[in-house]
Amino acid sequence: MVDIVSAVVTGLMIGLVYALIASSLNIIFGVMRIVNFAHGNFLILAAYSSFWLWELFDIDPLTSLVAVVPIFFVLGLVAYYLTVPRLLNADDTEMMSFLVYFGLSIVLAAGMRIVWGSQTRAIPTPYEGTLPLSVQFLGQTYATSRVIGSVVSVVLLSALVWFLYRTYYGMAIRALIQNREATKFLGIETHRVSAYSFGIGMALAGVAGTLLTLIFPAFAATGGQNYTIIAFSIIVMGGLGDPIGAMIGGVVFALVEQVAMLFLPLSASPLIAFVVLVAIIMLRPEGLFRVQDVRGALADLRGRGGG
Amino acid sequence: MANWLVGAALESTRNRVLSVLAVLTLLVLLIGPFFRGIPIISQSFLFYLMFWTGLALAINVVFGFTGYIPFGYFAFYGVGSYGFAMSYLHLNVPLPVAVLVGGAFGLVTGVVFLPMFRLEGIYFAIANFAGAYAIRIAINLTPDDLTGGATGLELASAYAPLQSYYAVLVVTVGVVLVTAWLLRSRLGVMLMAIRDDPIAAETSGINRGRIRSYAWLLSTVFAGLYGAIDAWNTAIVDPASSFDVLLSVKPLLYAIFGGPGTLLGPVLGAGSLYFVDTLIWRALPLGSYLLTGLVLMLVVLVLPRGIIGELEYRKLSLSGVADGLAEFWNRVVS
Amino acid sequence: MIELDGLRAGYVKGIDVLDGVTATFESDRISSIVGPNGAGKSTLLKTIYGFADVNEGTITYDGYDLTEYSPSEMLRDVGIAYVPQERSVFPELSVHENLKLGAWTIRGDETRTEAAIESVYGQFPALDEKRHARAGTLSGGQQRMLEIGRSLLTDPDIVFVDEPSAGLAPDLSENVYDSIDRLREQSVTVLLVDQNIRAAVEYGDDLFIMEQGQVVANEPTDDMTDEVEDLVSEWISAKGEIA
Repeated sequence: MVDIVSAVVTGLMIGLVYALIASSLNIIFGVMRIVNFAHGNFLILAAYSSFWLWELFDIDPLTSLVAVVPIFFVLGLVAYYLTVPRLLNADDTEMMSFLVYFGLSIVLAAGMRIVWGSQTRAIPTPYEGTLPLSVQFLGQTYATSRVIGSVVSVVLLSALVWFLYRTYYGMAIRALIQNREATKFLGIETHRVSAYSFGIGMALAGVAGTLLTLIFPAFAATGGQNYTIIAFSIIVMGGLGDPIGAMIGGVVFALVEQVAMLFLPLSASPLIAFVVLVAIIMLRPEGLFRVQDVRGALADLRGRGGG
Repeated sequence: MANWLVGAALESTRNRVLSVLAVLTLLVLLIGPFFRGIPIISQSFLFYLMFWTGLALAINVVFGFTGYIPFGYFAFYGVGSYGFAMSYLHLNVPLPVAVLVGGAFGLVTGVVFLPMFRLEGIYFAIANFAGAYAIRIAINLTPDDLTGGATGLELASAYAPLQSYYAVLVVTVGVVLVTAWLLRSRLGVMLMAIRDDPIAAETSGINRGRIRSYAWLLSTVFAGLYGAIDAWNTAIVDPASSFDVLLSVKPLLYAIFGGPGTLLGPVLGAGSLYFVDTLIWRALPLGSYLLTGLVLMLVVLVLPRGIIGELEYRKLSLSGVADGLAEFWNRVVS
Repeated sequence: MIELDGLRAGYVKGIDVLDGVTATFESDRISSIVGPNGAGKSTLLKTIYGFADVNEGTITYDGYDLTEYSPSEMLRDVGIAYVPQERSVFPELSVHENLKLGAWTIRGDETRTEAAIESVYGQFPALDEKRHARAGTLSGGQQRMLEIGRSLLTDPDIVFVDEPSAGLAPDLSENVYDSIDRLREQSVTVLLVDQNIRAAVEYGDDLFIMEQGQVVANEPTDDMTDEVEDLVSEWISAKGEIA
């Protein structure tokens, strides 16, 4: 079936961006256990900044990243220092952070709607003239913008994996995710590393938000909530805090979504995210793709590990 | 029941003062619709004052007593309004009965959400919200002649503001009584035990699951009732309005602000913030969402324990204030 | 040496867990701190390290005021390592990665870091065997040894150890205590908090008994007064540990 091939390829491309979105949320959640319910709204904010840079200054999305990345990194630091020290003093930090960021989500969505209106926006064909509008693959046609978006995602995801698994600092961040308290005894400036992790998570979200303008036909001020739920579904699926799990989860999720859309009406697709999320939380909250399970299984096969 | 109520009211100076205030408030509310010409305090204002206070108290039954945060609370309001509308429109049920149908819809939906209580705090909150959102989206997909699809149901013929006003009064009085009862009953004590130390509660033989579900279902029934009554009052039932996330956020905010787990807390919180909300809404109609979100953030960051909690933490207490005032009054009078 | 004078400290304003502690911990010796639950033993270590608020009193180390250092500076600038009571390995990281993190404060010096890690492998051959195993798969005793080995990477002058043998089978904990014993030979000062009074007396040079936030007795273990000796014997015969 031709449709299936198209759905799978599209799913892979969208999945790569989803993987990026999920990874960005995962770092923030993993490091601080902060349920950043405003994550999707930050994505939309980034999409808007790319949109306006295009509308007003003819700056294409990829070039806009030069500005988006540092700005969102700083936004992350600001958000961290304004909220986290206070939240750490609360009796129930996780819950209180949920409330604060839930509030922020409402503020951002309402703010953007008030300032920029509620109509849907889009950046159609920003690379018209320099690149063909579509590419052919296995007999199917795909929009170039989408291909570009997924390629950029791959680059960033690879960079993230390299950073987390091949650098000292990245190792410290993974350690922070696994056992925050323990880092305080090793001379690691826990607060500062957490803040930078927040910044990195936000910067990645900024990139993902910009890529949204390439991957999806349109976005709107109120669309943030949807992406937040999708992102949470993915990281719960991949195992909260597990960087690789979030990436695998993103691709799998998009594949499921695209294939399901072959059989369900279009408006039902947001429903899929929620159903997946609720189902996974209820049935297997530790996630489907925790990499340690995979590694553990591989180790067992080879007869080592354990002890 | 009446004996119990009177007994509780006369128990201490503080309770006596509060009971007098409560009765006075009730009288004012009873004749509310007949006041004319007072700025701001219109029938609609009083309606929504009771509405939000009641919802804050109802969500408090879950949040304050069990510690779970039901972010998807708006779903129970929503199905309540749809239950009301559909039973009236399709089955020609008399309006007061339709309200009860709304409550029943809230109850049934609450039952569906029960398995979520297996989850820990954050997971519960996320799943709860996701489930509620899913219901909202699902309604868009249902047949138009049943639920009105995305545009909603036409309820103009049901519009009867005076009747819905007294309905909301009855339900709100109910919620106040239920909360007062909960605070003193075995059920309430068990709930608070579960909230404060789940493991100790379990080992004392308290069936956590069952007790929690009583509180939960009580709360969802009220949400359904309020959903139905609000539909009656506004004649609006559609996915966007009936499943508005503010219907979770505002009651939570009011309960947190006032101090969860108490009777006075949500009442004070709702009362004060509702005033603020109304004044601001008059000035900036579009700002309602923005401001609610902002206030939520500020309240959590600045007053993590709510007004009542902060007072207690700093060793001041409202009851102390009330007792002090009562003593002063005694001295003045004698 | 570390000197405490009239130390009052706690985690919540207004509540002092340490109720006026005065003590001197000599350098190059193992000081065992024992006492019933809630006496404030762990809090003592935490307070010196900077995890609790000092309300009154002083903490000095060779003349330096320790209250001016934050926990992350303790390891890097003062040279005090801390093996806490709670599990502090990073379960999904390998043993080797865990050790590398112990060398965080000297990570700029690659040669020194590698040499230090190899030295730890030399002292703890069991860890060497499991270099690339995920730390979470190690047994309790091995994890403890990983934590102790990790604390030595930056060549600290002082090591705090809180409940080294909690939850460990006796034969496993012997390995752990041996490694603590060896620290003394390397001129490392050790402050040891322990429920296991027998081990505390056997391996410790100085004994500090804490009760209700104060140090009530302080004697070298090989020269205890009759009073203290009786108390200790009573505790040991009761359970082998203090209730």
